Amino acid sequence: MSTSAAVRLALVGVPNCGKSALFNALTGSRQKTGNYPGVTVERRWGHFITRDGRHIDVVDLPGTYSLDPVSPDQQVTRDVLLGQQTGEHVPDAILCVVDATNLRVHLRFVLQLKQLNRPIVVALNMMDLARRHGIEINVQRLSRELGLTVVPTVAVRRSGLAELLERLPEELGAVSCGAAVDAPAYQPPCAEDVRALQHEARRIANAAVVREGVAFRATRLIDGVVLHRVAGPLILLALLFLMFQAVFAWAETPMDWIDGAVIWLQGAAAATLPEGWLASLIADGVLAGVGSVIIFLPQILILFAFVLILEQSGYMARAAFLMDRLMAGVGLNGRAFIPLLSSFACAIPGIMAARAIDTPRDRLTTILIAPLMTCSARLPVYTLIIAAFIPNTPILPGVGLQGLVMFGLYLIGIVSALIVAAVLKMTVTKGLPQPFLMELPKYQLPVLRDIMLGLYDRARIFLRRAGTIILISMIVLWTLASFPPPPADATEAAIRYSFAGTIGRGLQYVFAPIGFTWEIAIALIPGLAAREVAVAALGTVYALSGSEDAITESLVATLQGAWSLPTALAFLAWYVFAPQCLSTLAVARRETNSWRWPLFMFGYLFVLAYVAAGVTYWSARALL
Amino acid sequence: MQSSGNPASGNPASETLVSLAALERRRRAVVRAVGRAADGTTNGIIERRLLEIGFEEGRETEVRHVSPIGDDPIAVRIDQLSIAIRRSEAAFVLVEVLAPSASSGGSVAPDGTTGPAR
Repeated sequence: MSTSAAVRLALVGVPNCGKSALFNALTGSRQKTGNYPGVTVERRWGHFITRDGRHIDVVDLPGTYSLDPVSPDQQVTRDVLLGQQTGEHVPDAILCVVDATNLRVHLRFVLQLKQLNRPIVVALNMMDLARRHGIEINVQRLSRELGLTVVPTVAVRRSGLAELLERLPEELGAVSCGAAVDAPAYQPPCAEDVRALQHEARRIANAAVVREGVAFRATRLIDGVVLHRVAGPLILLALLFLMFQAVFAWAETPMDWIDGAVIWLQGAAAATLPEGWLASLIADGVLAGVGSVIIFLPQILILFAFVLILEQSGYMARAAFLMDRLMAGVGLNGRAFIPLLSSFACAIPGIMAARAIDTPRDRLTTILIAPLMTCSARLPVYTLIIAAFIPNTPILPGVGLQGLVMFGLYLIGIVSALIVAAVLKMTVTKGLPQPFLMELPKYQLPVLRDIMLGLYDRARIFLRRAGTIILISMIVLWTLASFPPPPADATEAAIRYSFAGTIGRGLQYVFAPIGFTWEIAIALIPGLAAREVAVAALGTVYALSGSEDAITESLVATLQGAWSLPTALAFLAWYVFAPQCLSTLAVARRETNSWRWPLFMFGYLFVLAYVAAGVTYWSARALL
Repeated sequence: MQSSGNPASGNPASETLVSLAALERRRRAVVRAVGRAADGTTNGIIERRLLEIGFEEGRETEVRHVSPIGDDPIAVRIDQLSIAIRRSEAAFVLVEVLAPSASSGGSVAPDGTTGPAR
């Protein structure tokens, strides 16, 4: 994908205009995601070829209502268009996506873009929806009034693409490929300027719209139910319940497959490699470690499938509406609901999703509390300890004590997040309450293709993480745990004599007051790299080997013998707050653009974890 | 707006305007001022954001949904657009209440069939 000869096209539009669907339709799988340097907004770009064989590099800019940003996302859109974004050239041309069912609002943005004096093509999107609702638009008239090429499209069904690919070159005819262009000048408007543009937009809309449509009946009917005072919250709760149920129940089978594959690979490695440190590194270090992370891929994909479907259908905005008041109670707004929900899969996508929050302080607060949502990486730890120490006494029909404890751990995480948010809003992220103003888009059927592309993207990011940071930390851990080798007359577990053993015994003094043994202290170190690795690490510490299942099974027995109940409960409490995995800290550093906030995050979580474990340990000792 | 023939709505004087935050649910109204509160306070930042998202003088509006918790935020319709807004921001939109139209008889108006007046 060379960029030298390609035309640089910027894809812009108001939120909910179907811009991403058009981007997917144009580029298909020839798209990539990354980050803008310096800022932390996701950069999506791709490549396609027009009818006459011209290469186009298209960048999908975050949705915005104007060139006057209210969020970091929108700042990027503005900066790219004005040529002020580091590492990004001024686009040669702009493709502006406009919702045909909401011309008045969207045309105002087109008119503002026109002031930039760049070649613009307008994709008049959602034409099917417009037609279905009796809206009739005279496209020629619209094109004439705007003085721009207008192409009707239905991005979700890839219709209008052919015409777009045909008409784009006409508009790009004058554009010299990738030539240096001056950054366009731009004056931020005052409210009066916005009114003037709005007035003009309405005039054009009135001229071009032949027939006003009828109301969006389906959307109103659905909203009548999902925003209903009683039914609304119940539906939201039911959806959340279904989602978590799906994450745990549906993922089981693919997780077993991955587990099987890892065991097979470990066996193959042991069989082919000569016995020695290399075989041990590959089988016990690399495969066991990376395998223990990849196993969460099914859960993460299922959760993301739900999030993507809810987002694309338009329900997520309703959830934000329903949750806003609850969030306002701790100084956040409804938009924070989506990042926090994603954090149940993994804090990393959650922290990235916080970009959509339009006030920097609210965004920071959301990032800081995201790790308190119980991510799926904590599940293996919870599962292990609960299986070992909590009897499955039935409490209610169908509800056992084990399930109740699991639910309680989730709940403690959520409640602590709300408390921490409230405290942060009163201290470090203090500020005036910020506006909550959000369009509730029309409901749409999610498009499978777009969801698959979204999932593919998430899977890639996740696997890259497993392939780098977790791989490296597993190798480091294996090295620490294997060297120096135990003396010939060793009587205890080999790890006791290693570097890891030395470190663990040193840390013991820190952790003894909260009931942790030196073995736990050792397991906590790799747990910082990725929480779920703690299980594998405990396995190593207790000198177990074999598959993860075997480790877990024998660990249950070993731990029952080695830990007291207060210690086990303290360990669970520790993991509710578990200070971070490295990747979360790295993402927080990228998103906040400094080490200050990730360090603060690490610090406050460590203190909370320590206090929570301590309180649990000592009260359990007093009571039990 | 004059078509209703109601004496109160014929004169859009300032005292007949109410804030969108105080508008009764399901009561149709017309936006008369964006960025100005009932007590005359103005807020330029909120004004710009309201304009950008689609509030505009002369548009028909209606409060359609109210949050189940604490009655805030509210979901309002402007023409065909649906927008979630907190009452604190809705206070910066002044509207003129339209007389209940004769056609929608009962208080339980059927959903979605009330387009703009002919």
